Amino acid sequence: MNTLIELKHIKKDYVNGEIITPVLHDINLSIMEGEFVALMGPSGSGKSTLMHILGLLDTTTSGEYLFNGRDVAKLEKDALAIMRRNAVGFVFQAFHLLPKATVLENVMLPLVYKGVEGDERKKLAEAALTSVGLSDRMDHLPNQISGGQRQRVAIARALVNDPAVIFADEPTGNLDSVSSEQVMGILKDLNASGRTIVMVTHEPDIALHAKRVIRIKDGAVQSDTMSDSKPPLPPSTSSTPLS
Amino acid sequence: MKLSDLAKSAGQSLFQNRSRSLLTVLGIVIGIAAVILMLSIGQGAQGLILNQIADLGSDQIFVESGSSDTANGPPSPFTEQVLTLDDVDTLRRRGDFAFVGSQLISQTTVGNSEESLITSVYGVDEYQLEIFPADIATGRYFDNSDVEGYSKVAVLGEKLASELFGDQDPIGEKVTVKNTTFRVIGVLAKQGSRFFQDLDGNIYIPVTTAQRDVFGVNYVSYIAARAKGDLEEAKEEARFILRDAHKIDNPEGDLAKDDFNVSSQEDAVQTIGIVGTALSALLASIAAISLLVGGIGIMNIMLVSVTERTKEIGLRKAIGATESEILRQFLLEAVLLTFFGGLLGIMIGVGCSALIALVLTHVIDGWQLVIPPSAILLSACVSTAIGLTFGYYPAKRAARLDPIEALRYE
Repeated sequence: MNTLIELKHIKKDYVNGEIITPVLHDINLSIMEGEFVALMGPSGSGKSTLMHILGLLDTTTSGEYLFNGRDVAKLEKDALAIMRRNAVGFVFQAFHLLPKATVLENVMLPLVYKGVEGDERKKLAEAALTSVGLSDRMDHLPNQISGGQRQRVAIARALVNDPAVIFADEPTGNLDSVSSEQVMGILKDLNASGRTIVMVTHEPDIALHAKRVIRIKDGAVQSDTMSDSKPPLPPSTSSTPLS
Repeated sequence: MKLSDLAKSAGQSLFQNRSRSLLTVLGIVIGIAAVILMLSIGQGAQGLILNQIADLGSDQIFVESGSSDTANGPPSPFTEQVLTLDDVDTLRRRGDFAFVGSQLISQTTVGNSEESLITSVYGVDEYQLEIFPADIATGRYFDNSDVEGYSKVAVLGEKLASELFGDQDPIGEKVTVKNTTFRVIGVLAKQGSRFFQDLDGNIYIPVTTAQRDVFGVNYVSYIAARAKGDLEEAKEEARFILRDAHKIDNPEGDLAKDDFNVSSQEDAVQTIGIVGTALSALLASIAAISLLVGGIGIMNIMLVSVTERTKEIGLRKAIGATESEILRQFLLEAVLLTFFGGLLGIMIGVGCSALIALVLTHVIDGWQLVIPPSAILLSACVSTAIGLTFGYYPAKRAARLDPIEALRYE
């Protein structure tokens, strides 16, 4: 297994005028290919900032960030954008689907920026939607499908450019428990087929789906534990909440 | 991101908000339509006048009372009338002109036992038709003896003849001009209008009779002549003769010292050109203001659109859109908006011009629909430029949004 992500002495301060608010101090972290990591911590702990840095959306104040062996800490905005389109997929709590575009068009969007041709684009998007079980909803608009289905569309969108890692920011935060289990099932299936997943959550029962849990508190890593390697249950049989 | 995807995305976004897009671009539509319409009407009028001048011939000279200073303004009732029939004789005797004719023009009542109306009375002489050619429908025109002998005879315009006499033959009938009775000896063929004046309602009488018996004056309104050779030389010759006749000491040829003004159709053409240019400049500035206002409207709505779509922009950036891709998307939306607004404006402008031309051809003889191709090209370019100019700032704002903050925007 290769090391996909390596953080060395990462610091992040927010600067507002003369007030400097430190958010992350001296984070050291490695994530290997094929891991399923849950970042946990209370609000204000810095877990979201950490995920934004990991997801190449935010820059660091100091420290070294190696993504796939490449130092990305000092990259320009456009270079980061190009890395995001090629190597990263995002799943957000609020789905962030374009409301006036169909499900298929939403999933094709990352490929538009990647410069994939129209026919190929459609083929890849259809495959991604089929893999999340939504092949029959492609022409629907986001407001015509359920919340759980919307998040599955978002997962298909994160998946469609074949990224090295998928970042999921509270992916079940807006979902009921049944939909949550479905979404987690899909993420686990993706991980089982080799996809690296980094997920932010504050729900312990959701974090249990991950193989490794990193707890963040006051901008530092509080604990980093591997969960018991019990076999994951298929989503359809997990009828009771795990907590 | 490929250009075709960019265009598709921008087009979709405008189409999804089509009623707002239409309202936004209305300022541009109206501005461009007005530009096309005004240019079309302006050029149509100018073309019509220039055509009429060309029909009339370009060798005519006009002498009016008043120095060149006053003559360039509107005709003033306070200008002293200094031209007389003696001046006409002097010009004929001493000058080398093809024809010299006198005109005394005034409005008064003209009537017979049944009808009475106010129209233009032209006191003219036997050279009138040589200078302003017109056909005689029935009867005859004045000859030298009518003018010399203060004859009370009249020639009617075609419309006046039918207004006074209907289908009846007017030759030999009586008409009263002011308080004097004239015998009709001829009717002119239909002439239409010239310089927006209806010529067919006029009555023509000998200038001598007009001076002595009708109006009680001893001047003429103007002297018209046709040059034999070079027009400028002929004008200079007329000035020289009249300065001598009016005892004006003006060897240096300062036109402001003269009590008369000599002009030609060419001067009129030039004046029309100057007026046309000034009018175009005025219309252009009005159009520029309306397009500026339209452009500010575009900027306003684009800013609203950027704010409304903050989350969308955040998402696009998160999945890998660069700043320049976001910039191009919003800039293209603005340009598409104004370009199609411009096209719509051109269509409406051309349509209205055609409609107005259709009406005017019935009212004004010889009116033609003119749509300058340069105006269409200019309108298309200007509307595109407005999109680029007023779309840039909102697009730049969209491009600079921070993806994390944009995704969090509520």
